[in-house]
Amino acid sequence: MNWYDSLPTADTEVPCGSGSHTVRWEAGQLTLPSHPDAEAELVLAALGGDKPACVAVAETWARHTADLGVLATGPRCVADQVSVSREEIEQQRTGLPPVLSSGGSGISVARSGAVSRPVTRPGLGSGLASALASGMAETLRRQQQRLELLELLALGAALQFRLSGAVCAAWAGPDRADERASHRPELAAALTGRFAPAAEEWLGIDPDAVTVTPHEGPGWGSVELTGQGEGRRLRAALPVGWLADVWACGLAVVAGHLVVAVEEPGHPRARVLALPAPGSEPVAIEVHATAPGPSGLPAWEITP
Amino acid sequence: MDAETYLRNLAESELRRYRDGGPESMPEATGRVRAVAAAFAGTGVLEPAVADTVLDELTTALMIRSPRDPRARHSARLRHVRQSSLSASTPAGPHTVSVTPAGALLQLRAGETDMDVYLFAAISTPELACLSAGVLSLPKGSLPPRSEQRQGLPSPSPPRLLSGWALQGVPGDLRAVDEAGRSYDLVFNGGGDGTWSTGQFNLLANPRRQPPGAAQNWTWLDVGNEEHSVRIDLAAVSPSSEVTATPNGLCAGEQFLRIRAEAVFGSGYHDIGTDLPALAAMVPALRAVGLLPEDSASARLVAALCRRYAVAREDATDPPAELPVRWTDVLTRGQYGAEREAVGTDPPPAAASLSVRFPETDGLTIVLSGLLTRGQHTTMTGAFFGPIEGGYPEGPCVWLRDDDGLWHVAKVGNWSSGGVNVFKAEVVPPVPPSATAVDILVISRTADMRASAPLTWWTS
Repeated sequence: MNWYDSLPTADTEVPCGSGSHTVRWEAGQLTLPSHPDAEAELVLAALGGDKPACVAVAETWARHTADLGVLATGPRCVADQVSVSREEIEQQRTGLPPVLSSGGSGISVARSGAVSRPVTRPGLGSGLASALASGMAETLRRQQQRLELLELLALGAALQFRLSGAVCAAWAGPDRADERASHRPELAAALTGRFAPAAEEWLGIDPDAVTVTPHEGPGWGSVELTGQGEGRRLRAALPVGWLADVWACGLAVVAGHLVVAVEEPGHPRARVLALPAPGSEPVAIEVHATAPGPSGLPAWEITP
Repeated sequence: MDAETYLRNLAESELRRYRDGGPESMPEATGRVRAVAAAFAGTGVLEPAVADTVLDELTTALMIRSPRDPRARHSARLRHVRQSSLSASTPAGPHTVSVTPAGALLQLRAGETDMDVYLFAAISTPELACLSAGVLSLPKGSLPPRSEQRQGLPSPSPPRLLSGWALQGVPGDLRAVDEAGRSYDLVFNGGGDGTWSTGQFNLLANPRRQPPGAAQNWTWLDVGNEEHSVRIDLAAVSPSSEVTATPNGLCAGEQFLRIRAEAVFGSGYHDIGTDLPALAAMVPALRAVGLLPEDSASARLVAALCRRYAVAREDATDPPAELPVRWTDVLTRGQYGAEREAVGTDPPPAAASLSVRFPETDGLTIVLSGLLTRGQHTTMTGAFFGPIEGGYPEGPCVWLRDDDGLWHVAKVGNWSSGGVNVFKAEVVPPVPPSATAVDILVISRTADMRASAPLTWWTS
């Protein structure tokens, strides 16, 4: 079972060569249908040939599938529309030194066209890095990272949510508990920023009255509502995996239920644990996707 | 709650407000987060690099949610390319600085314009020497004839090191000669509008063979050009101002909030009310991380300011305190924009030496050198030795109280480098030339410093 099993395939178009090619997200992987042998094209590029733009996008995607910056800038809910144009990215890229504006490298691409996790971290050429003062090098590195993020966000809402899900899943694994502990503030803010709009939809509560802390250990976590009227406060503890399993799949609130965990991911049918009301115990319910919803996420309903 | 989590959650809140049509501009949307980031970084509870990263990420997030606001996107790009840094400064550490009143007027009438050069004070360290000054430049015939016919200095030999370089409205041929016959070129470092310029003349030994520390042994200097010169007596015994420094004994959060509240008055030329939302945001933030007591005096003052300016403080519930007299004096008589422009009936410009050196506090040594009042404007000159943060958000804040009991604040508008951060500040409300003395209060982060100084005005 994988978090992305609850998501359908999503396509987007990327200018490539003299035309436009489809870039496809499917079962947690970014694939390039127009470049069935992307690895060979990378070899050609390394020998001096042109690197196709879609291949470059797939490389960039692979470099950021565990980048918490995606969560800091990406969408918080379907109403949160993030808009980046490729023209603007090019405009900003022209301000970077030539070494940086050429993009990164060192990414492995599977024969199927699916891009796997990076073999090496992106970085400056060693010559430039040693020549520049460390502060300047760091500033440039951050600008490059930021431009790459913008390139990915320019792929559109459907892929924005899927990339966010990939990042959350990468951080949710049991083998990364120590790393989560050292990045707790980023993860807490990522959870709060995404859970708060869901809580508003669920209870009508002011999102500023909602705080979430990362939950570690067994169980789905906790949700506690206190106070009355404008003094209401909602405190939740949820695992980072909630962001991938639930939020990134558009499952946060289904028919007035707050989904706190996914028991059996799937599309168009899934089985989730949900709270009908604050203070209640979660109940297992079957849900099914009705039609493609906004931002390329499924719209879910409870299966009678 | 830890500081980074608080800051990131605040950024999430601001992002939501922006998305929902709250703040209308990028500065408004980032103002509270920027203020809290500064508070956390400034009090040591958060690494400055982390605070900056949060602000960077928020700026990017806001930018990509402003599809129809090119200005927001442009300003976000600017933030990403801008290097935040301290202004050019001397390093922190002990500074051997002396300031000696000059009180001289150099009247130049032979050039293309009439110029009066008011020399306030000589400032010297082992590494540099300068004369703080104000320069009035008016069309020929506008200023009275020279009252003193002292001869000029002999022709420069060797020629000036930077010949032919001068700012509009500032003489470019001034030199100084000390009692040992050593010659110095005066190079202006400051700014103005072509009519009035304020800043410092740096003394550059010509030829370059000045022994280190020579400036601190001068007994007099002849300053001028071939047309006219004045002698500045640097050995004359003048009563030195007694300076007291009193540590404020506050906790780190209280110190930060207090100096930020003071800086609302002492920095910039904008409406104080625009600073208050950011200032108010610091109160719950500092409390959330345990750096501000519940009975914080500064928080109550911030509350009082917010009430006065009708700024909503949904997250700060402190009872308002009574505002200090110095604040109310400035709020009622010195608001930005309240001064009228100088008119023809105004008295002539008047200058006064204000030579006070304050002991080093928080790594910074402050020297005041002069006051210059023209119409409804008073400019104060001085220098900072040590690191000063760009934008001057954390003081120190310089207040003057004249002998009528009225408080004035020095609004530091800019400063310049050249080995020293020489500043000029607009004093509001202006100090009238009828004032015969001032009490000086310098509020820095950890201490308050006080001094009194007589004012002897002179004019052309």
